[in-house]
Amino acid sequence: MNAAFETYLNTIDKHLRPLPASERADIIKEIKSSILEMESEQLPEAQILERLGAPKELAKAYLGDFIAKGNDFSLNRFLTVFAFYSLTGFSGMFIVPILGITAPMFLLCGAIAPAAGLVKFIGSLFGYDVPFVVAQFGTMTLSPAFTFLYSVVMGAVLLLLGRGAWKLLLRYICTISQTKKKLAA
Amino acid sequence: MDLDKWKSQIIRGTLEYCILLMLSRKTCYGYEILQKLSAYPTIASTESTVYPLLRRLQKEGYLQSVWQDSAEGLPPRKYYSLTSEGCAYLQAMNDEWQNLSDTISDLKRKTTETKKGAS
Repeated sequence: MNAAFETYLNTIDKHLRPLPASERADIIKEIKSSILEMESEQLPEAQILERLGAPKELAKAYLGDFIAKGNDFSLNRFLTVFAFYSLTGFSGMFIVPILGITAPMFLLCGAIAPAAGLVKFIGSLFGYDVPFVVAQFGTMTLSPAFTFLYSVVMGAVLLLLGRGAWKLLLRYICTISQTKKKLAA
Repeated sequence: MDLDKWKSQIIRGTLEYCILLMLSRKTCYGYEILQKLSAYPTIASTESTVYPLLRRLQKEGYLQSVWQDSAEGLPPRKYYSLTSEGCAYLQAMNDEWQNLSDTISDLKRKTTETKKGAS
């Protein structure tokens, strides 16, 4: 093994630096073995070097799979990750607090409204007008019975809205964690 | 006509199959595989194609390898052989290859029939 081959193998080793040391050593050993085989067949040095090709290119052939696997830096991947986190960070700033507050509030109001309507209705049965529960459209005030009915309908609507907001929040969070997993893969 | 480009695509797609076929018959070391390939001008390849391919096949679990320090001043050799997954993979490839080959001959037969019908 002459100096030209030693230099050749060292150059390859340098270009294989992204790979783990053990794998690098194995690759070099195999190429070296190939060179020795050709030497024992009395092939001239120039011909051997020509067949192996530029050391950088040979190293690249080994790195090809490795880079495609995404263990190394790549601009495309960087941009994807960057876009993901900017978008998530920005949308999360609004979506998470808004849905996180509205969902329980809708649910709470959905429960309180019919309860208040019921209090008003029962009060009216005993001849007492509960002053803080009023259903009013413009100047028209609903009777206690209609107030109760109206409060039940509104309560149901609010509960549905609360449930919807809650589900939306869960779905938002699920989508983000799944996308993140995909990016990490 | 860009026949060279097409040919290189064929080699890229089939070299894996050729090497697995070779190894299914007998365990070979890397340089030996290169020598055997060079007997067929269509699929003759160099170290920069074959060695990384062998490495990938091994990583995917289709091949296993073992270093053997040969005697009599010969260089150490890395012998490759098929794993059981490799055998299954080769079997699946054989089937696919048969399908492809049947398709091509069927298409060719139909082409000649049409030509006969036209004349």
